[in-house]
Amino acid sequence: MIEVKDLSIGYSIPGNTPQIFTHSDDYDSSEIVLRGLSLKIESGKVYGLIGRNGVGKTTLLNCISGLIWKNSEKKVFIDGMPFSNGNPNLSSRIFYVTDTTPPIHVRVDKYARKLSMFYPLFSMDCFNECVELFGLNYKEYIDNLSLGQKKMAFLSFAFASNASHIILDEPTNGLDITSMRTLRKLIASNMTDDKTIIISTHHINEISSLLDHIIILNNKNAVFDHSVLEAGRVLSFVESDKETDKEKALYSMSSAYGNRMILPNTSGIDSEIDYELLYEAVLDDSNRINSLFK
Amino acid sequence: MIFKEKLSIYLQIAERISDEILAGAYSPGSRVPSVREYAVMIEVNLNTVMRSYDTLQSWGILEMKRGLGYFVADNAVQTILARRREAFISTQASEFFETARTLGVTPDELADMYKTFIRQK
Amino acid sequence: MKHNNTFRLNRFLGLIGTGIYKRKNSKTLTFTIWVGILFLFVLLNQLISNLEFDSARIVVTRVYQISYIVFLSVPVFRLTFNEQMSIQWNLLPASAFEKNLYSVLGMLIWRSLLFFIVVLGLDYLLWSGSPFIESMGMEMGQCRIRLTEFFTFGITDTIMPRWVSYVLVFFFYTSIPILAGISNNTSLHREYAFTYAWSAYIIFSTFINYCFKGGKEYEYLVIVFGCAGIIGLIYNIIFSITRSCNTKA
Repeated sequence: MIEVKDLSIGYSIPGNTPQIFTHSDDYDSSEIVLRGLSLKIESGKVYGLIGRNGVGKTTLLNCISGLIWKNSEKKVFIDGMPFSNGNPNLSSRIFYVTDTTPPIHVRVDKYARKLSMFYPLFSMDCFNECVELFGLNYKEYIDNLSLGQKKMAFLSFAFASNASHIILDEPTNGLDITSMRTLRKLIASNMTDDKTIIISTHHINEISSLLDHIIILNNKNAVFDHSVLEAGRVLSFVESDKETDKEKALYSMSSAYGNRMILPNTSGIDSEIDYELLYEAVLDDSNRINSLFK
Repeated sequence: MIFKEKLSIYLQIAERISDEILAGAYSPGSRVPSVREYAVMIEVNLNTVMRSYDTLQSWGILEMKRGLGYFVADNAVQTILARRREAFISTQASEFFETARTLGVTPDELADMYKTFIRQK
Repeated sequence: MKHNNTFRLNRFLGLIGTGIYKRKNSKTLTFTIWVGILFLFVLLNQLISNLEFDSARIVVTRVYQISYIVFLSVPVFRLTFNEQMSIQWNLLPASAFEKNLYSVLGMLIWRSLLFFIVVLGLDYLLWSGSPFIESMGMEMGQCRIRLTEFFTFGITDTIMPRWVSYVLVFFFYTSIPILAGISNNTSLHREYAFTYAWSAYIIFSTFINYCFKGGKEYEYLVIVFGCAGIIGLIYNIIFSITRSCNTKA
């Protein structure tokens, strides 16, 4: 479980390294990325983190992974314990696959063996399985791999680490259709009650079938933070060409067949979620959507 | 009029498994893939598939045997057909009839059309 | 508890091992050149064989010491986790203390081992049976330089026990690079700082050697720097644990 409590991050000098701010700090001259963000990320669930470019997804993930921290103020808690970089007991519970994977001059298999010394639950069997599924070459140097292959190598490391929190920043970038299916299968097969997977993505539809919970970031905070189950229960996603339906809608978007709309769910039957529509609706007026949830 | 409200994924999966049972992919009394196996196969969240299986269990289509897994109920086929018949009558049939009424098709014409259809099969 | 200790041991072994990987594009040529230079040192050893016995030994020892230092500092071999990987380095589950100390320690150990195997091995293979060995009163099969002499600039048994001298000089040798390495915020500059520190050290030690030629004043200087080294090392270890640092991610 990961908890983020009242997190504010900004740049005191634009372009410099991001820093965590507290209430006592002077905000005025700075560029705030996230303000007062609080999240509770529970075990046994797959979380989708979405938002437009630059909204702070990567910054948030960097913070959760311990790359940004402040000793005097603990804002991130892993399994209830305050987390900052340098606590191997806690950082071994996280495996973070960054958006851009580094060109390391080490062989894939050697790097896996290196990582296995730092992740106590690392499984070489799982690693081998992932490599086979992705069709990678064990003996290849990581910096010789293509963008997609590098991604796949790091995804293999992630699943093999058996870390209880796997964090993926734009994992689908650079992956072809087959690899994307492999990734989906790996996410599906690796989920257990004590594991958490957080996926930040632009391509929500690629992984929507795998999600338990959606977090949408906008305006320096999380404007939507609900489970997929609840969203399907509380909201109804319909497609209709009746103009009168549009008036009842919480939000609508034109489509080839008429209008895609969100209505309050009165039928009592869970609806399938149109993620693109939900995202646009939340960005448009998050309060209107959120008011329907408990 | 097109009014498409798609069912939640877990319900769609439940229907899909029902289709598979009707098609004979899983015969009554036989074991269906485990929740995890099925989730990996169709690349869907584990909890979602879990919900599907629970739903099918509550409908009497699947049975859970502790330690062994999920099995197709002996009268699953009948149960599915009964559910679908009811669904057909309450939604699709009434939509069809509404369209027919709007277009001015008489009940006799409908009966004739249906009889012809059956004869051809 | 037991699991924890295994985990700690694994981290130690994993970090020590980070000192060994070859840098990309480090041509075999560079390595060959380096071996060639060492070969020249060994040759130099032979050429000065007609000098007086004691001076010869001192010069030989100095030459090997300096080449050892050069080897430690030349970035032919780079740490696995270099600046391109600073994010991966920061994500690695180990404390800052463990990462900095063990990886630098690992590098020192690996390079030292490599140095001794190559240099002393070369020396033994090529020059066994030379008049120089005989003049030093050593038999075939013995190390050409006594390792005790290699590691000290001069031992003052009258001032302190021998082991204290060893400890002080060890810190003298190692404190500067560790100082330079740990004091940087990220591993970004560690390799370069290390190199610069060692280069300064080479120049300094050569200068000291020629000025004092192993006299008492020099030995006091060794002691002073040794203490400074210990203090610096402790300070940096504490600093690396407690500092608050953010990564440009």
